[in-house]
Amino acid sequence: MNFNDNIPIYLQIQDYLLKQIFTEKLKPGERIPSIRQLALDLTVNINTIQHALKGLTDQEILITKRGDGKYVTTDQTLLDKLREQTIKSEINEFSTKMQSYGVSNPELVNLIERYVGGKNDAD
Amino acid sequence: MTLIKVTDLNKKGILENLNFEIAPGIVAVLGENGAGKTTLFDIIAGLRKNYLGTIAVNGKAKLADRKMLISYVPSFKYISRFTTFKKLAKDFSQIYPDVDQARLNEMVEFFQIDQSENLAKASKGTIGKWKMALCFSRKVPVYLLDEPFNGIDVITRKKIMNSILLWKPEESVILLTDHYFNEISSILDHILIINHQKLVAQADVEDIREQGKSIEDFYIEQLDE
Repeated sequence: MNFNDNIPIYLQIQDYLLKQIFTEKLKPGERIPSIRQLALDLTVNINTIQHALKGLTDQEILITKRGDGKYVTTDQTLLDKLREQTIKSEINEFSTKMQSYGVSNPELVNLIERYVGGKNDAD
Repeated sequence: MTLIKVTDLNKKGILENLNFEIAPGIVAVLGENGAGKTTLFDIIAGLRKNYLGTIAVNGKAKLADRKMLISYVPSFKYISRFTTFKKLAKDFSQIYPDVDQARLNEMVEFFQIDQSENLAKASKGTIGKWKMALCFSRKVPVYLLDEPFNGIDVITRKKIMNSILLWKPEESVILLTDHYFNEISSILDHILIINHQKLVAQADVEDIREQGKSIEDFYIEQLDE
């Protein structure tokens, strides 16, 4: 995986795992790959993987089963809330960026509608 | 836990007053060509004796004790072109009784090394794999790799990075030098920067990234000062 070298990699790994969870590539209650496997798949230092997983475990997104690795939580409410927070944060960042290009929010909504509509027509 | 401790290391004209400690992990020593990195490795490995200061590995400063704790990828400069990997491995195992044959075989398998191929025919990538297989066949606390990725293609580089992730023992340190550290920065824990014979910086790579800098940014910054 290609990482941004000026953002902590452990954050990028957390982001990667959240994406896997939100898109159901890792399902609630499912065991995630071992630390070693993740390190190999992503070509990342094992300590960095551990740091990333600790953060997700602290937030209770991952549950540690002693001696048996880590599992995605089955707490759907938590996952939904997290997904909502993550998306909100991205939208915030995007709209701020568009404002810096001089695009107002109403114009932005319009543009997005047209964009999505255009994509649907093309399908 | 300090694994390597270098105190007041001085070698006239090459290294000046180096003092540092290294904990287990994957550590890159960065610096321009001729900055003294290879000399530093030679000294740590016990291959150069003309210097002032002390080097201790796991608290052991005496050369004979230290040498047994370090695996250094050998230079193939003086080896016959007709040497096969099989012969190299055999000789290596005789010099170093702590070579783990099972591990060596695992690595030969992993790298798909053709043991009957000789040095003359081997590509740079192949030689890189040979060196890694030999280096990691020994179970020691310190692995020194001098430019292990030099002239090596992308696929082989990824293979070597994976071999490091797969085989690095937990309480050990891999000390390496490289010029293309951008491509390997994701596996590093820590870096040391040597410039104009001195140690100018030492940092955990994630700390550097926390400041919004890339390793390269930090390196260039340190060299400018």
